[in-house]
Amino acid sequence: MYRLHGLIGLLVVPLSLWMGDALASEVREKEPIRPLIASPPGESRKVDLGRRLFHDPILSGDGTVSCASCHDLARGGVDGLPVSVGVGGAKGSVNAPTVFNAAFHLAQFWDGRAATLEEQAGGPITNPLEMANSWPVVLARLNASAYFADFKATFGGEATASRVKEAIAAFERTLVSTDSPFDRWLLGDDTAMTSEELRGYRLFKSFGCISCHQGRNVGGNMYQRFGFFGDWFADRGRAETAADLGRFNVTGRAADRHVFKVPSLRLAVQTAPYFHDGSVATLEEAVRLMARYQLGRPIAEEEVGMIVKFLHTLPGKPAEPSK
Amino acid sequence: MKRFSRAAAIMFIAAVTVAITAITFIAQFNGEARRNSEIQSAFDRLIAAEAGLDRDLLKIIAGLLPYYDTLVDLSRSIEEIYGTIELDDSGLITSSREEYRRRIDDKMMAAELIKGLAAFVINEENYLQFEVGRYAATAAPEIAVPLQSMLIAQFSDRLRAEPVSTVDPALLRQGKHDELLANLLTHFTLLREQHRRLHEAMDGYFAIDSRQALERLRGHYIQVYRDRQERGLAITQALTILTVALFVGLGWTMIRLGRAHGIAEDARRRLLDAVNSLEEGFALFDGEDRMILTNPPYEVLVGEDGRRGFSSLVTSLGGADKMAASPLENPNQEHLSYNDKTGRWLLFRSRGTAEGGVVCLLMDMTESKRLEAELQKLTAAIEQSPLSVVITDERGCIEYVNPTFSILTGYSAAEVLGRNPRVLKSGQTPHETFVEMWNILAAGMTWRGELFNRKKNGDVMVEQATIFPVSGFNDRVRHYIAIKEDVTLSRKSAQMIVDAKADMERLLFAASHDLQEPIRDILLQIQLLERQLGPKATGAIAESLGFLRNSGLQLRLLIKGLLDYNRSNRPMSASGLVDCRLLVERAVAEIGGEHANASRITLEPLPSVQGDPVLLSILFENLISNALKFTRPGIMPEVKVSATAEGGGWRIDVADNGIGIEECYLKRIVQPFSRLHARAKYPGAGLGLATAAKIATLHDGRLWLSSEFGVGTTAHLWLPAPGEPSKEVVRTVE
Repeated sequence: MYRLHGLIGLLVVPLSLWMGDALASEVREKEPIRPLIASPPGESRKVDLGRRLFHDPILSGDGTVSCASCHDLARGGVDGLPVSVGVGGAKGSVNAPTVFNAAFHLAQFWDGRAATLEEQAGGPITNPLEMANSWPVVLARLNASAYFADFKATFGGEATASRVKEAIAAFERTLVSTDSPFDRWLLGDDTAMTSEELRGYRLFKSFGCISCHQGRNVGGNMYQRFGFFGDWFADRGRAETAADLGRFNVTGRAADRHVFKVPSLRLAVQTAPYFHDGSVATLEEAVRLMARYQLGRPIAEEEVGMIVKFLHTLPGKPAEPSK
Repeated sequence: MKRFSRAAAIMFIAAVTVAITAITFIAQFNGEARRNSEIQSAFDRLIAAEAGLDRDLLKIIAGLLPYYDTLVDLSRSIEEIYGTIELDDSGLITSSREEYRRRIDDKMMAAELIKGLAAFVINEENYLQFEVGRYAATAAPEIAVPLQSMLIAQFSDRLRAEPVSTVDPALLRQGKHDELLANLLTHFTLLREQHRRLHEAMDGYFAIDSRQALERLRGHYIQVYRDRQERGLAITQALTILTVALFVGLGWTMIRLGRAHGIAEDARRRLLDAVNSLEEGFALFDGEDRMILTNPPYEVLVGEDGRRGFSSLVTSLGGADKMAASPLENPNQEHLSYNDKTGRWLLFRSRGTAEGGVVCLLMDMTESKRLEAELQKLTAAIEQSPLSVVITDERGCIEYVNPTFSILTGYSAAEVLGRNPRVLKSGQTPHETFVEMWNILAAGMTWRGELFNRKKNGDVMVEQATIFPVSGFNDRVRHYIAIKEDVTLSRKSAQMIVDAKADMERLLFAASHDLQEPIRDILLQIQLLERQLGPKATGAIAESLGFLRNSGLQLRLLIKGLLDYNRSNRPMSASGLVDCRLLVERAVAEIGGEHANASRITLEPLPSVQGDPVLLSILFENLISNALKFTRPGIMPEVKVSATAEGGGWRIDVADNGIGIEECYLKRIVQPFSRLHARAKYPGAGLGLATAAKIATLHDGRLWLSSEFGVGTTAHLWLPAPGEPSKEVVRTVE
């Protein structure tokens, strides 16, 4: 009898939990923003190797700069600078975007010139303003170091450019910030958002921010022209650079001038300064500028504040704790 | 057979190689088929992904925001699927693939443009819808109405590529001083511009026929694949047929090989049987001096040395200096050798074989050598024989005569060989002799007899001949052998001896018989003298008289002995059953008188024997007389006569207790005139035992003595029992 009761208990408890869950969660499937879900874990040995390479300045020309120098995982995957400082104090041309959730982007870099994380990972290594290195040097160093054994164990051979990229990309795919308050709300947790935050979300939608910043990454899945209503590049009071041409640099089409990848707003609250040139220091200012140049409408300070409040609900717990 | 096995080996290797090639090819073929299905499925997935792209793009244009993410996923999967399609670069495929790649890139680019434009257009439409409504609610109707109709026109133009609505001039005028309206008009302008661009982009997007390019690529791929597949199929079939053919050929060759092997095996077995059944040693060496085959007798005859090769065999035969050590020098050799160790004669013979080897035969000649020696010996005996030997064939033609024949007859061997022995015929041999001879020879028996033959010089000789047939195969007479002795001379001398003996006996008998009377007279006269002289005879006279009497008695004994001995020389006059006891009793009675002194004579039961009663009584007299004569002084003579059945006859022992005879004299004593003692001590003629022995011999008996010196002597007489068959009768003709 006791055993039967035990069996019934075993059946009833998970059943009631599931029922309760089902009752409590009215999953908001119609919302244009989707919750982030961690990617399936890659091969752990490859991920570990990628993590160590990511943090190791061995990849840079003078051994001072690592990937993590500009994409500090403890600071939302960015360095907090308008433009990053590379080897010998060289300054980059654009603001470093976060590496978190980058795997969901339709392409990498502001102008989308890298289709995959693998392609992206190689870019900074040979960029003279960033790590200022060359593949032969990097590979010679790696194969002369303890990394040789790791590459052998992971790939069955010595380090090659594609293997270095593959390892780093595998690591980067694990960098997903999940379980944000907003995601919990999307999954039916009504208590995850305050009313102000919800109002901010509604404003975000009604102002039309949502038309570009949607999906699981709240952006990152399309290219858009910067400056429909007014010429921001003229207004910002700074000479136009090659980087300001955006996607034009990749496609060469006139229509792609000042077209950029719409950035993800997931970690926007942690990754100031803003825009491709890092020229905007605060999120409020960025919201205001967006309303003016992209939406062509005035926005009240109160509304800006509420939208920013909403934006604060987007960062999740970083899958990769600060290291 | 060698040819077959080589063919089989080649065919086997070829078959296996072709089979492996076929299997590899089929495996590759299967691998290709698998790859084909993968590629085909990739093509299908590409089509599906592209259709998804088209569909989701339309959804985005319709304002469904969540499909931005799915578009990202779809374009990524298109890239991935495309990346998995591995095609062999060949003319058509390469170009159609490049064409498809271009279309995809165009499509992706157009899609990105559409995404951005659609976002803007949707957003502006939503905004204007809302803002125009709000503005119109407070604006003057002349302003509100055209503004609203503009909005309506915008929505009705939504699906048109070129917006037809135009801005009302009143609105433009009003907009110059109405900032809110001016903003709305700006939005309208931008919307209409982007709307047009969106439609352009959409037209461009849907004009891109990537599907057709994909189908073309697929068609080219299938064509190339099918071509290769057909080629592969043809090759596979050809390889399979070739494999089967090779295996069939292999099987057939194996059967032939097996059959050939069986035949070779049979031949070899027969050869082995034949070789092993040879009594001669047999060995076969090949051209490289390797031993191929031997038989047991060979092993026995030469042992280990013979296994090592022809040269070693030659050495072991001791023929190294006389024979070529290599069969190449001279394969045909013959050599007779003697081995000191084994004591064997070996005849070695070798012959070359077709393949450059050599066949050796070894014959053990020891036996024939021995027979040869034996024959030589016998031949020598015959040649040296004093008898003449004649051998004829079955018809009587002379094949052999020995030298003695030539000496005796005067004919040389050459003169008589091939001729019939009747050349010797003298005509003096009775005809009956020849008849009997041929009867006996025809019966296969030996004939003995005398022939009177004529020598070459005409003299007739008497030949004592022994003739017998020699049978060979089937008991048929092959030869006759005659062994003959010329007895002409011995016949003559024998007759002379018989005559001389008879004369002598007659003389001796006459003398001894005639001497008895004068001796008797002399002894009588001595008796008379002694009686007449009486006591007067003294001194020298009496001594002379005694001497005379003794001499006279001695002479009488001698004469009697001579007579007895002489009588014993006669052939037995009469033969009959004689009772020995009777004879012994008579002898005792006769002799007992002489030995008046006390003596004891014991007679045990004695048998009757076949013999001459006169001679036998002389015999017993002599034995008993001797037994009583040689007495020891002071001891009473005791004589015991007994008989024992022994060896098919009777042994009669006459034992005494006399002086005995020393061992060394036992033989000599039986000869005539043998005396061991002085005549004065023991009187006698010395003829007694000789006479007795002679009589025993006449009766096919035997006489011998046994004695212990100083204890006594026993005379043993053995005589055949009566009725006992005498010696085997040989059929002889005299």
